[in-house]
Amino acid sequence: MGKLKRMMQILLLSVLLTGCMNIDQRILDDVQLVTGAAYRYVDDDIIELTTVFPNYQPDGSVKNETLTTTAILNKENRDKQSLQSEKPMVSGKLEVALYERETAEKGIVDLLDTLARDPSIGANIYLAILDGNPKVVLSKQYGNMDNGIFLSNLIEQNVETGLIHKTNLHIFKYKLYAEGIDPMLPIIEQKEGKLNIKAIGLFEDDKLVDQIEQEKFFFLTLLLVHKGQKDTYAFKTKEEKKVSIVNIKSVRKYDIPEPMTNAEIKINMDVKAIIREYSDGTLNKQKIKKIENELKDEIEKNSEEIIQQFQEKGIDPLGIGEEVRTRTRKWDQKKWKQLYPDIKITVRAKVKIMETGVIE
Amino acid sequence: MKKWRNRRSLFKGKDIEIGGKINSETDPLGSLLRQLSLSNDFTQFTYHVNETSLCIGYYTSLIDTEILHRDVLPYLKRWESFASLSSVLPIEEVIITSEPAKIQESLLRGYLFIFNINNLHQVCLVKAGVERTRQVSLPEVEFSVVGPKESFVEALDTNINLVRKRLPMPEFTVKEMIIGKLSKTRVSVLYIEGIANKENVNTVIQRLSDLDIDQIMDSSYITQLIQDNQNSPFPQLIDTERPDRVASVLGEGKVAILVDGAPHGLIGPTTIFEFFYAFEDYYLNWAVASFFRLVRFFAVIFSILVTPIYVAVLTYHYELIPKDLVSTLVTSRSAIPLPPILEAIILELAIELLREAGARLPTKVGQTIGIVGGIVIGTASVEAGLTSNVLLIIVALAALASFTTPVYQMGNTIRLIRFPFLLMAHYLGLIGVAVSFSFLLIHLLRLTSLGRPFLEPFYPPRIQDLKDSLIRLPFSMQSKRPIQEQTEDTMRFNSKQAKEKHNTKRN
Repeated sequence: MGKLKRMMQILLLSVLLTGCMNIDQRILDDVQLVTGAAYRYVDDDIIELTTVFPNYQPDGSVKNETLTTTAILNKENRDKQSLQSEKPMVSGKLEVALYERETAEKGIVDLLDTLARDPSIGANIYLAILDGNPKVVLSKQYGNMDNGIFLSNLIEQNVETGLIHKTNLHIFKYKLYAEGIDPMLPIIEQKEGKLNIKAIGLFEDDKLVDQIEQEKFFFLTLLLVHKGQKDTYAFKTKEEKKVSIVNIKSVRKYDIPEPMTNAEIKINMDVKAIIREYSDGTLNKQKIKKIENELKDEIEKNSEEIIQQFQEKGIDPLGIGEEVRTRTRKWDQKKWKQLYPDIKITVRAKVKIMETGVIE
Repeated sequence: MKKWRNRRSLFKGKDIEIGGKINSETDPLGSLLRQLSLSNDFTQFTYHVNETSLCIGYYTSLIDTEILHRDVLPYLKRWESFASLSSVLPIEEVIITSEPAKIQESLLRGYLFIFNINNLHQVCLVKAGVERTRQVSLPEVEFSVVGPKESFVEALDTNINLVRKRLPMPEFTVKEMIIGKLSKTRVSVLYIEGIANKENVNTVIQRLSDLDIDQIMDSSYITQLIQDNQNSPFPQLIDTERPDRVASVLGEGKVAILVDGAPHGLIGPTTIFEFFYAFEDYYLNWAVASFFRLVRFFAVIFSILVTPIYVAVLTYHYELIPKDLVSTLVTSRSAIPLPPILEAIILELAIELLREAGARLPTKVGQTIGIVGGIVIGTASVEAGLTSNVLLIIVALAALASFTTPVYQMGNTIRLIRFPFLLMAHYLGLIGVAVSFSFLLIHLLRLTSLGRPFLEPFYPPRIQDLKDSLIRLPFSMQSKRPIQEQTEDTMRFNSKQAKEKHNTKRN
């Protein structure tokens, strides 16, 4: 009987206390799913926020729509946009956050707060820099989907094929706060009506200071990842023959004999590649040997150039500082910053062409 | 009010108990005959042999008139004395008695009585019963493509025969008892002496003999009456129509119950996993059987969880939807005015309606209902904008998955427990689903079958019993009987010898 009584009590409670379970329902088709957001400082203090969201048509197609407002904080912007919107704006499906170039040069750490503080936003959203006015660029539709999904697919696809480095909010923030490494973000531009990853933007702390152009993505990826694959490169040999190669396996190792001194740091690279296009017919052993040597020179030359570029700006996107930090107990960030620009960093590459394909 | 009480006392009264003994000391046989003749299917007539008048009486509905004509009446001509009747009649069971109670009971079991009108103190009872049951036929609920195609019928003796011919051994024991004040149903407890744990056997026998009920119409009455937790939606005894399954589990040390008039036997103690074994699993290669079993377990989980997860995700957790799926889901739901929970409940109920209608109607009409329901209602409700086609697929798959459960009772349970999950999913989202799942798990943990844990071999963990649970390992590895049954003889066979293979060499 006592058991039955308690059961009745629980049943009664669950009926009477329904008001205490005031959980917000956000039914999928009754919310406006923001998929992309672009930030721009119009004034020192005023943020212009452009949000991208899909408008699902009854026939199954998707129309890209944008809203742009200005306010002093991002969440205020969202409230202002909700005033213009048919459904409440929610940020849980945000896929990509864009920062206008000049804004990025001023520093984006304040703008990241809204992404990091909102629990419905995942740490795996993509960040990128937009070369152009967000309002103009994003109001045009680029694919069958809305621009948020389009941009996220664009970045994801290139990360997966190894053309650009892996990037997302989590990685960006890690590199921002970690000692001895600086963040990078892809720079996207609108070119002839298409979106295009134009370069990789280099940051000093949270400010955009420099960039690596498309042609050098290959070397940057080689330098950046410990074990890489799938990135591609095309070059001309000294005999004006054109070669395109795919990296099938590369291993990058640091050789730091005396950390925290200005002794030489060696970066050893072991690249295994295949030739996927060659402009001069069949290949024989000597030709392959030659290509291997030239590719080796090319990698060493370009990599060192890139590193030099970094050292001149005093930035360290490769995380050489971090490599040093893991090898010593005397890590001192200030001292490292002084040492870094003058350290001699050399790249030694070993290249092996594994396969050339068959042509008949 | 008073009248009603009186009527109750009529049933409870010691003198005249309905269907019980009659008590009349002055003329026992006469009052018995008077009571019997109240029923129109009772016949009695006088038969004259050598100047003696014999009175013969029987229930026409219970005896085989052919036996009467062929084996009783012609031989009565040779009537000499009453005592010699048993040697005259070519029938094995001829009883001479004078107890009215015995006479009444025998008549009701298909005997006929013969007595000399001049001597009422000796009544001869002759067995002439007829069993009108259907032939042993194909199993319909637990059909299997390979393996024996016999199934139990409504006659207890036929059923015991089907089991005993698979277990020709004296240790195979049948304990019979009569249950039901009105129905007087014969219930048999089957076990193998020396293998089955005495405790299990005694539990079953004690629970059965303690039953106080008027009618037992089917073995499912027994399940509901003797299972450990009678309020649980989960059945705790397996019912099966396959004699091969019964014989096989008896060998594992389980106890089976057969009920006269029921084409299903009961098996216990059991575990929840056993409800998802089709007996065909043992007729297929172990790898194939294991795969099918895993498919079935997956189907159960899928069937219970998929609609609640759909409701929870669409109502609360839009973040969880992969970005490529968002557009499909939103487009399919954009025209629908109902929240996901209503949409889901409407469809789930529609499926239940179809199933119920299909089950109640004759087979041929049932098929039509399936087609009408599946195609017309499905497509029409999507076009009318009542449900989304994504949910239609999900609900249909969930229903299909629930039909993979080989034991019918368990399939019903699975369809039922989906609804609390659905409501909780709407109420609290995925947390609600998790909470309901916890409750389900707690309930299953507390369940027992004939006092043995229901979630064995996972809780309590019995590694050895995993050999025949989610997967079925080859027979050579099944040399020990399950720990669950606590058998008296744990070894089925020598596992070493089982793995040896001898090829006869040719010269």
